[in-house]
Amino acid sequence: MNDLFSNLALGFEVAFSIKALWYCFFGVLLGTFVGVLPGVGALAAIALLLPLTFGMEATHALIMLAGIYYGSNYGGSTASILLNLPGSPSSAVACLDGYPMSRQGRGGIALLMTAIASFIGSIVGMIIMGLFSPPLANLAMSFSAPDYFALMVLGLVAAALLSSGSPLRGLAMIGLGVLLGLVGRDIHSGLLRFSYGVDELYEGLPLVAVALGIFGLPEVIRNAGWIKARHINAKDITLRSMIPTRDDWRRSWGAMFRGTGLGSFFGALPGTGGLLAAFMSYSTEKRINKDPSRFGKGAIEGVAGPEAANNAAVQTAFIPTLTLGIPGDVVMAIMLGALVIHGIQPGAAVITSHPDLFWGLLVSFLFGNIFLIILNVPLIGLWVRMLSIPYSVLYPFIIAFICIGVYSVNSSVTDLYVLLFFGVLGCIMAYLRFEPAPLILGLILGPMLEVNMRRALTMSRGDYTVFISRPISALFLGAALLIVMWTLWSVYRRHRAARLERDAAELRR
Amino acid sequence: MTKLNKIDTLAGIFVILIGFLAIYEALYFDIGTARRMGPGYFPLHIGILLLVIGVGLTVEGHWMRQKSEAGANLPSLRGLLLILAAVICFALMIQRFGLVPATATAVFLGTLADRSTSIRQKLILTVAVPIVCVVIFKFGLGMHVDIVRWRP
Repeated sequence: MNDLFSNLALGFEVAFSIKALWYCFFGVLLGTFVGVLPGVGALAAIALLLPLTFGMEATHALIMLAGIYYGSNYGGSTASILLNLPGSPSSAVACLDGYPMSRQGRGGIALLMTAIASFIGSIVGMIIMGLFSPPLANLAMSFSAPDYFALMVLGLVAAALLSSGSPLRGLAMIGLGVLLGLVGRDIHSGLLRFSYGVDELYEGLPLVAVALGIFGLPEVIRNAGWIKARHINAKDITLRSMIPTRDDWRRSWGAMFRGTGLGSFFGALPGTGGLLAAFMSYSTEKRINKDPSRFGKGAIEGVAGPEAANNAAVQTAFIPTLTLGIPGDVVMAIMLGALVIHGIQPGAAVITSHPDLFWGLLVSFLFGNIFLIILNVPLIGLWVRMLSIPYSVLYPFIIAFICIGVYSVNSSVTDLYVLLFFGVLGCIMAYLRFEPAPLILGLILGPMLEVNMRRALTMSRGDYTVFISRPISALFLGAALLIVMWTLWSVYRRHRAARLERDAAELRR
Repeated sequence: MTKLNKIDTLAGIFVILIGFLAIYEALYFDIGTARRMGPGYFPLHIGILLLVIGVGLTVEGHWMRQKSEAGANLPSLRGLLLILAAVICFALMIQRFGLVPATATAVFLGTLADRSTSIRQKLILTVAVPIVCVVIFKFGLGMHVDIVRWRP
């Protein structure tokens, strides 16, 4: 317990400096901005800003990038509630009841509840992160290669099966991502693999170029000329309109705390993340409510619960990222990349070898969330006006930022062609309805997956049972198997329900 | 065959092709054994896995006949080509002519993708975006790049 307090004191010391506070503020400001804007996600923003952090201290870099991440969640919900356009994928759930609320003139209340729910979710997630990370990291110290391999398999399977629409498509993208992760020099033999004569790729694919190519360019291509200017009346959202009724409070409290619990749990699982947590919370609220028919028509529980879940998950997603080196979602994967670029090897040793980074980041979440409340409650009118920036003005900036951002990483023209290649691939993938997120996760985990598999099998002299004879690795693989079985079961159930419906329709005829 | 089935089948073929590509590349290297994995061992297995997934996707497309909520929509060819051309021009120009000409060309090509803006708006953006970029990247962040240079 004493440890915890001295660690927190260290964290405050790091996070309460002018510089750290400034980076934190800048991060959440920028995050809210990109969250509100259509067609610019947190991932693109973080990938773009990654090069700018190279000159900064690692702690400040991470504080800022994290700020963009959770800030964009806030902004995303604002766009969801007022316009029915989720600014970020994880705020899609906020559309379901948030938009109906704003059509009933209760948008201000939805926004305030979102802010409160997010704050509570974040703070609880932060506390859980502070309490559970050190023991988990200690436990992870005893992990060896087979355990890490199994954990990564669990993370990838979870990402493929739980968070994407089609399980097989998710798996295919993981596989493609892992392959792309192998591009470059094989550390074992020194040979160049999958480089197809492009020697500049010996260090592997440039992460920023791949991420912006696969997320950024297709987004611009799809939306250019298609997103029409939108009109919202900024005067409708005033501070006065944000005051919830006693009934709203009564309905929201329980939802917020249930959402926080769900979010903290799902966020900490590697490979899942905020979207799943938010959906879980929404369906829970709907199921336990006395009158489920209110949902989808502006039930405040359907806003408060998922928002709390989403934000709690965002905070606890840092637990596997920082203690195990396994990213919880794509944005975390990019953060891991940032750590590596700053010379910090992600893994169990981060907390002990860089306590200032871990605890400083943790405490910065507190400040970041306070900034967000200030930015999003009294200054909400500003963001509402921001929502009406037409895309036709916005996207030329995005094109320029993407090109310059990619070029600035290595001053390399090759990186621009990588961007182009992945832009085309991204468009093909979008046409074939593949989701890009699992691909990036595979890309980051691919090399680690191979290294740990090789180590494990060398240790066991080629005996594959090493993965199930060690208890920790068996546990992880068992969990992965459970997820596979659960997916198969739910696919079967959906299939059967569809068939029953068809049969019933035929009977009626 | 409905449109959605067609996309599922195409997606399956896409994945199968990638699987073959991986196996083809892996066989070029030493495969080794589980005990001593060669550089081809891991990619070979991922390639085989992708083949299986690809076959699964193709079969699923034919067999499940699932109704999906949203069909894929093809982006307009015009937007696609113009925005890709913008990136190519930027790549060709950045080291020869510097930041401002490269950005301006890319932005102008990009604005052509949107037919709803007038030519005046397009030209304003072509001038404004590079200025903003110079302020942010060159002056704000000290990026090492010439604003204008001549090295064709």
